[in-house]
Amino acid sequence: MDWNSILQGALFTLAMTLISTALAYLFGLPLGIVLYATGKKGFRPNKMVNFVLGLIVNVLRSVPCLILVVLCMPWVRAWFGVATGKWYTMIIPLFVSTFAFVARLVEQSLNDVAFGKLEALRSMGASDLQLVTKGLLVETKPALISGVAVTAINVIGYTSFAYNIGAGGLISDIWSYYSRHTGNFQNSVEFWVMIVVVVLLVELFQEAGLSLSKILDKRKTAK
Amino acid sequence: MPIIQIEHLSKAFGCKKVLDDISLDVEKGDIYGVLGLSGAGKSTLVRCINGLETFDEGRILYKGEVLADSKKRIKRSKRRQIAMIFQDFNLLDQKTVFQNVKLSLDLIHKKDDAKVLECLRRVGLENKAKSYPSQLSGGQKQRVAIARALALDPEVILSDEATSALDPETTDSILDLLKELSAEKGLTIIMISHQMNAIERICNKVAIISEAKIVESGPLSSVFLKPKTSVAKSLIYSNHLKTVLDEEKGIRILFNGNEDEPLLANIVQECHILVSILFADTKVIDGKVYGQLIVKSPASKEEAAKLTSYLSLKGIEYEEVMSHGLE
Repeated sequence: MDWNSILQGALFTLAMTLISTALAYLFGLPLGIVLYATGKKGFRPNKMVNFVLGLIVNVLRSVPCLILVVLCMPWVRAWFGVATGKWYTMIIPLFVSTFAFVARLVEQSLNDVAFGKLEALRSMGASDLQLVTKGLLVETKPALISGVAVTAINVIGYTSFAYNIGAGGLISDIWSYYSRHTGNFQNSVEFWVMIVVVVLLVELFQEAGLSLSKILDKRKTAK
Repeated sequence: MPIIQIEHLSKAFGCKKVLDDISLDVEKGDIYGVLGLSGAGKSTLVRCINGLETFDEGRILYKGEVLADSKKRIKRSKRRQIAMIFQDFNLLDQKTVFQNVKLSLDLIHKKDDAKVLECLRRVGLENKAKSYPSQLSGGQKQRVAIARALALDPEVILSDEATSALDPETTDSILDLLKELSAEKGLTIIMISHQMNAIERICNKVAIISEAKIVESGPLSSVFLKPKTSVAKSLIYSNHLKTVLDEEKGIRILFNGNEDEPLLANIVQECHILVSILFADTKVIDGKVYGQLIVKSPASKEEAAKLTSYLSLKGIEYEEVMSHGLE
């Protein structure tokens, strides 16, 4: 069994996932906040802005990831010099297909904050920015963290499309292993080990996200 | 000069008027109760004062200066002089009690931990500084909210049904705390409530709102002792009384602090009429009796006339009441 290549595949998957998730939050978090703020229940309702942003988000979310991989190729080439064949060529398409999802996820979490809490902050003279930084983000921290885990798990799934542009990563490796051993891949230990590693990666994000969110949530810490 | 003057305030949601030409003067140090059934518009009224709602017509003055009118809301800096406490407390669940109180200071980038502790001590929760809201009872949460309101040294506290979610005992302790604070710091409190008892306990003035209008307002004793409108009457008299009066005619006798003699005993002795009590609600304030007593009207006309002339002679206020007069 080639442990080195399994390790390398896992690292590529991890790198793609972490970097594109981070980028998706860099853009998706502010976008989600604006979506919330301009929405019906938000503190700065604005139908026009909300509609336009909502439309962009919905369209982006409707385009399948594989299509985005293709559509992003010119940008990837412009940025990295190559559009295929390297693990980092997946970062931009993964980011593009994820940040709209993140925006909706963030919007959803913020919607759960009782409006009265914002009114309390307002009555103390909070600015819009302070409403967000001192109120919304503080109150939704646990939900946002479990949201990161959900997003990262999604992105791991999307890294499958790395196979189509030869960008590597563990899931892509599993597919190529299968295509090289179509006859007896089920009997190979290496094949199953790779799958177990993918499952462990997903579990890692799931558990880390959930337990961190639980530890940080102060709503149910009864003495 | 009144600290807050509300002048001809009107507001409509669509075509439904929620505030209709409301005017109200609140003096410094007043604990001004605003009483009304739910949906009467009383909540909207206080929320207009600190800019949580806009309004269509009229203006609000603070110490003689325009605080807000139909075009512009209250300034952020002014909001800090008018604190607010809410029915559901609105504490941040993810912050400790200490951090919740500190929040109001954080907003103006002021670091003053001693002040935070002082406020917590004042509401009796200094030992809960490190707890989270989920570990507190409702009454404790409202105390934290009061401490948070105090941290910015406000001049006015708006209370929007602040005790409506609490049990009677806790309600009383929160109300007493508010009254003490008002006396200590010269705080003005505008208190929205649908609970008669809450207003009666601490307010010195009261306005009764019904269907977007103020129907009665003034000193607590005059409004509560002699409600003029049927809305006020139905809010002030208990349901129990209404059912009693469905069957009986009564005479309502008012005590306004001047009565020293045992009135009922005197009636029995001097008029030889045996009166039975239908309803009594009196309080002793500063050693004087305030409140009302409703006695069954004597069955015979002569006796009834005798009783009323006796009351007039003694200079005691009374009126004949019937159930439909209370509706």
